Amino acid sequence: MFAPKLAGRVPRGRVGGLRCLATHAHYDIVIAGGGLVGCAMAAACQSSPVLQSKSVLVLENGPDRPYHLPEDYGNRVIALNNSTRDLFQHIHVWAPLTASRMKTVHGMHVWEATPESLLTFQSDQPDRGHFYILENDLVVHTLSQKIRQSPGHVRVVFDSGLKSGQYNQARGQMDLALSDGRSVSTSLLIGADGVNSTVRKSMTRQQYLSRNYHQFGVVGLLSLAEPIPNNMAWQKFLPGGPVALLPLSETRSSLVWTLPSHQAQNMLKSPPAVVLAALQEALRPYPVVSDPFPRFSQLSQLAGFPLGLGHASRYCAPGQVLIGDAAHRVHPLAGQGVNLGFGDVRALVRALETSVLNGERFATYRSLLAYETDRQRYNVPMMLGIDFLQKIYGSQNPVVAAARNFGLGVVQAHPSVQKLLASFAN
Amino acid sequence: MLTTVCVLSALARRFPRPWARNLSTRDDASPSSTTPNEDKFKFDPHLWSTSTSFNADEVDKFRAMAQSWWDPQGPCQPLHSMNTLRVSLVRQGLLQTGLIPEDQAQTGRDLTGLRILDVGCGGGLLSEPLARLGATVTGLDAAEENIRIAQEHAHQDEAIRERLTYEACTAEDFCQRNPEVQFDAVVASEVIEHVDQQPLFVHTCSQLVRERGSLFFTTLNRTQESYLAGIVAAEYVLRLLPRGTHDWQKFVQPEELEGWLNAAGCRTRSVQGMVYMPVFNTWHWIPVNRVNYALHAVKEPALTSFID
Repeated sequence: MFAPKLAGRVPRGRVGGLRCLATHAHYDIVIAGGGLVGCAMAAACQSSPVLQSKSVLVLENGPDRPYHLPEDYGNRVIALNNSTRDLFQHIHVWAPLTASRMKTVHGMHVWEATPESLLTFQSDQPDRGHFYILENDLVVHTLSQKIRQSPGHVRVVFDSGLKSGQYNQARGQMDLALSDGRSVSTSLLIGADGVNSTVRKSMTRQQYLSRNYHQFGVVGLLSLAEPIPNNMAWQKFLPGGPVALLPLSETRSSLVWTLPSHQAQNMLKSPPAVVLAALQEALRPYPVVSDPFPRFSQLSQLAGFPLGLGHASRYCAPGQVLIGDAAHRVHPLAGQGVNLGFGDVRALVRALETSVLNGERFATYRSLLAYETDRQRYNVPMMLGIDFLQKIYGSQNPVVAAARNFGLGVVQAHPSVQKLLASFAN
Repeated sequence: MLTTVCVLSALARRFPRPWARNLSTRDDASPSSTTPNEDKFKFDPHLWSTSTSFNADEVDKFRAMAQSWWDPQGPCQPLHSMNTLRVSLVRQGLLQTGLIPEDQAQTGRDLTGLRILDVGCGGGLLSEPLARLGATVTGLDAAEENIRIAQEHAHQDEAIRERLTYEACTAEDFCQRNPEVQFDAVVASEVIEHVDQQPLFVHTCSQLVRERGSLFFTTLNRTQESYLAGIVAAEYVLRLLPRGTHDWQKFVQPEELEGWLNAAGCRTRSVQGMVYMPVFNTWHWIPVNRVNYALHAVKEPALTSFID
């Protein structure tokens, strides 16, 4: 169990040991969900000079599994942009990630059915990549290691999730019931509990707009026939959805292929060799560029997940706030999903810090609303943009196709437009 | 545009236009806007024991408002949101003058160990945030109702109630009763435009602050713009404040305030304009101080007053 191990590592501050939880404990912050965004939030609180004195409890549904970096890459990878890099540097997890297994991607070639419809996005800073590919589990592990090793008032409880939460108007706090039967109270409940967020569902006057794309994301690990520098990402827009090849190393790439549901299910049932052949067929004609296009010899670890769009009309209610996928879910075609979540972390930390420095009570509704406004102003156009791309590239209508090609031409001809797109994505 | 002007001028006719008859007489009594002349502001200490800045009518206005101090949607809404500027004014001001150690700045415990006097504290809207940042705060207000509200509200937050003391009295009374007490900072936010004998009030505030300690004032300038924005717009058109909250004639020009402060041995460090956005309920710093402004002054060491 986790408790005895932790007692030796984390100084006993206001939070005390797990026994504290058995009675009615109060935390300044409770984070529901110990995934990427939840852990990043906890680590960001620890790193903030203003928030590090706050007691934080992280609730993780899953068990405390020991993590060893697997010999080969996993199929669940994430692409981090430079804003997320800034956040990770700030919370001191970037260096350990760089030292571990990370691929810096210099740019991305995007093309369509014809080889001349090629767009190239590249990093405009020589010392920085365009984005960075990392394995999901490695990032979660690094973040949770960081939380455990740093002095501070952050506690992580495994095998325990949020069952229900109720805002106590009189005391200005949230009363929470946990799935393991305990109850705690908190000034701020942060919902980092993913697409099916319990926190979001318990909010009153909440509306969740969602759409099923009837598409699947098929992911897998690709082995290259021969080693190449493999510094570029490749994305081709197919009628069924985009397919992306993300470099992992000189001999490995990650596949993210969007397919209509029925087609994806057939793929997942077929032997990997058949899927690989279909993929190579779909990628042709290869774009003509100076960077060598990877030739693949093997496909493994095939898996699929349904894709959809979702957006919470409200990111906050008194005493509670949503971050990451709990608040918004996007199509993976732009690789922005998790970066939007990390952007939420930065914005929420900023809003809470400002409110503390203004001498307000901790986590006033006003400060949460400031976070909501700040984030929705960024997230909503981003989501609409991604949804728009998904739509115009998914359309078979010749008028839409003509307009799309015209738009592509404009972007191709004007590097400033490309820069603008890239800067917004960061 | 023309319509706007017509509407505004029609509206303006409904109000007294104090500058039309009073500007000239005011000008005689006030300093020239460029070179404040200290002699005009020399404070007569003989007035000290017999006078007070207390104005019964003004105090009654705020007595009537007592119940709404802590209603974030009520008439005090702009005062609530003004904290974003005035709390940072105090934090930054005390950091710049060396009263806050560098490693304590920007931690949320910035004001730990400092003693602050909030003159005209009302319901404690500013006293509480300052206490939450670690300061030991004394709040004064002439209206007992306000003090009662402030005490009740402070009692709800156990994290700060130990560091908050409220007293129902004027600054002069407090100064007389506690001649030895000196604070690290004295704050008079949105107060001086409601008191009588403003030079006396400033003098009293300066008595209550220690050497190298800071004085912070926020108030309204006496300009045509402030009449339009602070009275016509705020009280009649947008109805942000109850009618009659402000008396334009009592508004203070920054040069006047600076003059009174100079006479009291305090040097003005900064004057910054502030603007309120009614729809968003936010305040912002602006380079123009024609309407609302904040002033930060530091009390000079006694040596200079001996030379005087």
